[in-house]
Amino acid sequence: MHAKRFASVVLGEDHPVAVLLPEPDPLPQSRFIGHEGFLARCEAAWFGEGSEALHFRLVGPPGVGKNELVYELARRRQQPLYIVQGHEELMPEDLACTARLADGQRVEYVGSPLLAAMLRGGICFFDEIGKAPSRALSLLASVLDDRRTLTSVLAGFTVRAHSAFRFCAAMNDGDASAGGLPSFLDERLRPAFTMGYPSPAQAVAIAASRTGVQDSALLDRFRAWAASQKTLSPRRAIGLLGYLARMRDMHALDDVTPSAAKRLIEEVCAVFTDRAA
Amino acid sequence: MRTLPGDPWIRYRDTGLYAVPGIHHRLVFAQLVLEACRRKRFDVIAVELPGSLSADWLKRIAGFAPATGMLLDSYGAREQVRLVQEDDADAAHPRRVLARNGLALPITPADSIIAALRCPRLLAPHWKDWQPEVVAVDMAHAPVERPASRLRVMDDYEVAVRGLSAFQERWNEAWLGGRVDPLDGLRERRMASHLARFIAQGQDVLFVCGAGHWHPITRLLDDDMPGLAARRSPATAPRGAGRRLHLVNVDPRVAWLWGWLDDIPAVVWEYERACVTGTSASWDKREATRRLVTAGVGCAQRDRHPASLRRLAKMDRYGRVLLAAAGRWTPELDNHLIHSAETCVSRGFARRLKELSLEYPAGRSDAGQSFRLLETKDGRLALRVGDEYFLFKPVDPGVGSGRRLPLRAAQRLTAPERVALTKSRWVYRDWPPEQALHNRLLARARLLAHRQSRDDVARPFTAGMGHGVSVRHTLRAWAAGRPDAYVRHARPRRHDPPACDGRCPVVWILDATAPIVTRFHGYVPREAHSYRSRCISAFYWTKGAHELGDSHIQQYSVAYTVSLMRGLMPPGQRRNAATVASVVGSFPPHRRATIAPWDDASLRAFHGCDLAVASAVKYAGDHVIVVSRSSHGIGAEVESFARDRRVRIIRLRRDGFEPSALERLGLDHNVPAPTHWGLPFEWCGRFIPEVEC
Repeated sequence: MHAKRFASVVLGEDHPVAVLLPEPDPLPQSRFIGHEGFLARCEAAWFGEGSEALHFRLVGPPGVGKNELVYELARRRQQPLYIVQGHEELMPEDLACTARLADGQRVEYVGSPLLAAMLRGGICFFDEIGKAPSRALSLLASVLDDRRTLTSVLAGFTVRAHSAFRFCAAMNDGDASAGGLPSFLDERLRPAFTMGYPSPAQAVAIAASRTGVQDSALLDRFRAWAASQKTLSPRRAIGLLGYLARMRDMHALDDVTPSAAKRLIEEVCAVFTDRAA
Repeated sequence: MRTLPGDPWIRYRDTGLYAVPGIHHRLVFAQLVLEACRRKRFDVIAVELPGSLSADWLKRIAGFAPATGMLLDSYGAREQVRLVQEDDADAAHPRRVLARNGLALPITPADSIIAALRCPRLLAPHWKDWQPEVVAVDMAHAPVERPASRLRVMDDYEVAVRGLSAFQERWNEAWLGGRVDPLDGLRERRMASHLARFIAQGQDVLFVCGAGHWHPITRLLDDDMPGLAARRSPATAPRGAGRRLHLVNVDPRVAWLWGWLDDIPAVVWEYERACVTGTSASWDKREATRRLVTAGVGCAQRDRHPASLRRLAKMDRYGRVLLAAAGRWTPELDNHLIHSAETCVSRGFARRLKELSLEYPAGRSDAGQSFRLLETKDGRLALRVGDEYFLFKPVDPGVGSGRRLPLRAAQRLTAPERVALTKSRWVYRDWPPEQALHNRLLARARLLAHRQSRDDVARPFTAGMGHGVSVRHTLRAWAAGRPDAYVRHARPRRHDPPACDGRCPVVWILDATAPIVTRFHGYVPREAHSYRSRCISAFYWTKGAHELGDSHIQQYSVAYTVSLMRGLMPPGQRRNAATVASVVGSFPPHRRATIAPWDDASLRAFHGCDLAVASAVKYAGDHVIVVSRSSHGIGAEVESFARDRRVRIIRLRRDGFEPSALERLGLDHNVPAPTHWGLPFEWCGRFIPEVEC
């Protein structure tokens, strides 16, 4: 089992404390397809040194490739990526430094991915930021403006971000429309890029690349089906195509005839859509 | 213009030939031409226009600007085409027509050639009695598809930064492969021949042409100037029988969409005003763009789309990086300016800025003819001007220029839509995107109300920091000899158990002071019109109401509204008699409203917003949510009424909601739908303002 490693660093001057910092998240090495325009815009937002760089957010429906876009940015910039996962139980200290009891009574300070990214000059990607309660996000105010500092009241230190530190966040459009971000964060996380569904052809290309399906007959049928879909996300296309390929293998269909492929697609789609109900 | 490095022209050796080679429809070149004429009193102004245009037509074109339009010529034989007819409003249209290929000469003040034609008039106060000879020196030809015409247009402001000669050299590199020979060769030879004659006569000539032609022309002049000068002046090609020119008005927005009005029409118009006031020499395109953004900030604030300083600073920063990445000094409207405004400030601000950017006075109807854009069955565009039809291909403004016109609401239904509406026994219903917005805002209101009714408690630290260290409890524990650390946690309020069952009434007070013009209520099952068993889902007090065009769509400006069951109905096609009855049945009878509050004797003591809150209290469980400005006060009688009924009023400030979402909530529509449970007619979307939030 792969578990993330932590390295100890000493922070604070008057009262130094040892803090365990997480290692970067592993970057998937999958090929990135499409969204070149967004990549250029994200690069433009991050252009410059220190406080010149703008922290942006990506807004869009699930599965359209927001995370993949950030992975690709990290790969291109060759910077370590640290991911903070937003959820409804997130607390303010989760973003800076938390503590745990080790060996019975000894307190160990555990730094957040955000802290690690700030210290090491990495990219901090806050996924699903719309799901985090606004009081938990208040620490980000000083991180995302010109101060570029993060304070942990618990451990008693303030750190200033490395000049290479970059921050971005992603949220689903449902969260954005239900209330969005608190206004102080809405101000600081701009530009806000809205990502929509890619074209069906692009979604199929991504799915084919990710699943490794090369059966041209199957792909043609799938492409024909996808062309009729208005909101086919790459994630859903990957799931469908992968499942389709597995079904074909299970039925030992070496040569998928158009009619067999059509039947398979209908079967699989029924599993993946409301029609299953 | 900022101080121009070098001259506003390129002089050919030591002759009297001065050229302003430029890119068509780019403002800086038009400004250069005017500046050139201000500095030197030329004898001749030669322009790259077909020699078949008479002096009279050249004068008419010069007099047409600053309106936007085109001179429409035609070529080739007539061809029979089939038209797509959108409606029966223009029954005069035959389905099959004879059309010629249209050849359009765009007329806009942003074009250097048009500027050259206008110079004598614009500079009349500067040069007394200046009447240069204005000559069209090009040959007439059919439009050609250029290999490089899909190149992105370079930023003309580069001229103001680096000078005309440096720009010309860079253009030549980019232009490689953009020629169409032998046509371009023939045209350049003809233009060179004219210019050689002027040089031989010792005249001072201002030559205005496309940037791609200047170098080949100079090469021709270098090689054989005497030969060119001696060449017989080519006769003007005779016009074909039945062919005539049309001066046609083009809406400025359409002209911009076709790439004729520089990047930003409002900036072109500001330049035009500077020309009239005699300040065009010091006018600077980049500064004008900045002034436009400043004006946009003011307009947006007036329209309740305020832009904070931080957002504006981000927009400026991001916009500058985008420009640098594109190698430009001035922004393209959609790709740079509006994109940065939308992503860094807000959609409302971006929309207002775009409207402001596209402001340009419409053409004078008396100077030119109007046209109608039609589509042929095979997908081509056709123009009808008077009784003639022309096949037409607009100029491509360049790949990726991203020019988009903001959608304008349709003013009327098309004939098929009107027929479908007349034939069906349609009914009114709500507009699904508005319903979805309402649902989202209701969910948000209930979420915020939930969070309000939680208490902070401190517990000894074991693992997890909760909401942070409770310093007070920790100190107390240490003082008592217990070295425990306390952390804060939130828990639901015990004395006030789970605040919301997801069905509490929500009162939206959007404008408490507006005079009320109409009141109405929505009821379920709304579509069934079963008055006997109706159950009211929402009350509305509106400050304005009217019908949109001839569409039967009713639009209301809501001052305040009470949501009782609204937002609980299944959306889209899952709404039917069974699902609606199930929702209604889940409410106990005392929480079902069957009478409007303004008709309810038990609520007679309340008025205005208080009546809305009191009506919500009457049908509430144990609490109601009131969303309003924090300054809005609820009357003591209502509070007493709520206390008597053991109903808590939870106040939420408007700050917790997106301002644009609340603003859109204030606009409500009743729309026609073909059946009781069906979705509304699709065309309603053309009339109703988009729900963007």
